[in-house]
Amino acid sequence: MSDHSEIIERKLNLNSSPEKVWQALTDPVQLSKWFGQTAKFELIEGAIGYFGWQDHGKFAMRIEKIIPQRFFSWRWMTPKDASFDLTQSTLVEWSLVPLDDGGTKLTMIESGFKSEKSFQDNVGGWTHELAELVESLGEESL
Amino acid sequence: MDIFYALADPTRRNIISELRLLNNQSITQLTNNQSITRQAITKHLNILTRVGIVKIIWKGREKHHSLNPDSLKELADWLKPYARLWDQRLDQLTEFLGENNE
Repeated sequence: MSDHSEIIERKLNLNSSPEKVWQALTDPVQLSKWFGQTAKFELIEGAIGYFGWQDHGKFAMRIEKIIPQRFFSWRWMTPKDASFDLTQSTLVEWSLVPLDDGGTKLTMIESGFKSEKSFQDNVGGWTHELAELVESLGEESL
Repeated sequence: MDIFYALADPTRRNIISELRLLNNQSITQLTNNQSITRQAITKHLNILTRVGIVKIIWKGREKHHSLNPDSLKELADWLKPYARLWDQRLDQLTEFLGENNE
């Protein structure tokens, strides 16, 4: 079983304190205000829970690693409405680093994509995407 | 000049598609496949080269045009629809945290 080598990485510098960001990530009530509509889990390594979207279904997840205020990771299912299965999950890792001004540098990395298809969700390739994107930006003619 | 400007032209997108099918073509080869003039193709290739989508390679004394895989990869990465979901979620996080109330 080999992993596709692609990852998604995003970094944000936030004004909010690490404590506040940590709560937003790890409290299911707060998480479900910006990530899906429902989230149910206990903050314990190895605990199984789920994230739910009204339009997309429920995705089972497992809490992986907790380093309070600093690092939080989960694995979650790629297919919806299925019980947790390691081989069909990707890993999402959050790291929080305090900034000098009291804010937080937040990094998100998702990895463990098993196939190009699950990563791109669009096997048609990016050329079509490029055309769509550019049209939405407004074409300029020379 | 940025990469999106370079892409905002259907002829240039056609050149990119053409090079994806068959990479490393000379201007003559590229002109044969398009219904526009050699001069126009040259102008478009210059733009694509300036933003780094196309690079020049030499085959003997002949100049060939080659897609630069790194620039395309960066762009493809930005475009991946799944990755964009994360941008949306992180926007929602930022709003939830009240970061936009400055």
